[in-house]
Amino acid sequence: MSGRLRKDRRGQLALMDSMVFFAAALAVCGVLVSYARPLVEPRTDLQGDADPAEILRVLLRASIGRPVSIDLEGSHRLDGTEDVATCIAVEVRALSSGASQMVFSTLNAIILEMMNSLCNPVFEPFLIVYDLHDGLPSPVLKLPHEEADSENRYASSTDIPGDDGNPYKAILILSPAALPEPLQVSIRDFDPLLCVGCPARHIGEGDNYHDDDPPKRQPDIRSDVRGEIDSRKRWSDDIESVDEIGEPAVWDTDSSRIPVTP
Amino acid sequence: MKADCDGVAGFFEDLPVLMFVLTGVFIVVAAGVWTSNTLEAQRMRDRLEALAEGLVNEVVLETEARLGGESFPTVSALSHLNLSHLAGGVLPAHRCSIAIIERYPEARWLVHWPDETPDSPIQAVGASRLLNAFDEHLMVVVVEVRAIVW
Repeated sequence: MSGRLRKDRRGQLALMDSMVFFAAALAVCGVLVSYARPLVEPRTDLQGDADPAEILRVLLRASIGRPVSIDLEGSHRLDGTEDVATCIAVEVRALSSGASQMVFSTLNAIILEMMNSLCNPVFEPFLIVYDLHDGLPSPVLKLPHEEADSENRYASSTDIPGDDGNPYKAILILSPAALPEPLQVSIRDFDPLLCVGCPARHIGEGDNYHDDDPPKRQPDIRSDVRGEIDSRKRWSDDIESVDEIGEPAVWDTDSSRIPVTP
Repeated sequence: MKADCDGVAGFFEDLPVLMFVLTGVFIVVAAGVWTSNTLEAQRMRDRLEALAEGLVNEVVLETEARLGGESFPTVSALSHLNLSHLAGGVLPAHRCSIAIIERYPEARWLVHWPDETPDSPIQAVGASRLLNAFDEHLMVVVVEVRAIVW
């Protein structure tokens, strides 16, 4: 580059040099932006929000919370203090014996409500219980009945000792849910002020409440007293395995391969 | 102002050269500043995440230390935890909010700290953990320990 008058062709070379410098600057800029851009892009994976092992652990240990009557032969009455694992064990044994799932509709509704209340609202929970003792594992219980059809699912499993001594495996699958627009917010957009004063599942727009406007307790479901089940039976403290499914086609277990979406 | 037909010279040649050089320098500096700020924000987020996780773990460990042979803590014991004491590791470098919430069968606050509404944070990170606890009727309920650090 020259600020003087010349009689040669070097003036053109200075312009060419500046263009080369500009191109190099663009290349450096591109490298820097491509390096840092993944840090500012909204998250598309939900893995950090999914913890199916923790949800399954607290779900199976929690009491169902309401008295439920089960109209079977020698009817049972659950007084609400039984843990979910015990209730599932009773149900899968009855279902394996040929009982109708309609008998357990109230209990299943409660378990489904529990799953939904514990799960992050960006996920839809599915609980599948497999019977492992009879050849090829087969699903005995599915809550809800429809399949989890998403590809990006996260799951955890654990063994449930059945009342009849047969092993069952419970699998909790978290499938990304189709959400209304107000709930489709990035974690990066999370405003903690919305969180102060309201539980986690009430962060969504139009779904907040404060201490002076507490949520209403779920209505109790009263049932007839027809029998009694041992409420002291506690499910094992140990969650057997924790797994995540990226692209699940089959589910590996110690004994066999169980299809996640049978 | 030309001496021959071979090229542009002097001041009129310098203007486009100066424009290219200044624009190139500006682009590089802007990209560098943006990248630096982004990385710093990410480092801050990682630090806040670690603090939030640590805060939740402290609450859980404090809860487990008071079990006294029981399988689960009681809701009453959780409600009387001294959360301000547990938050001492985060303060005063950052501000935080800790809450213990019953998730099932009821959705209700058990305890939270601080009581006042916090000011608007620029960047905040939360962590939570689900626990089982005995309520007043000896039912096993599900509670959530949640910490937000900013």
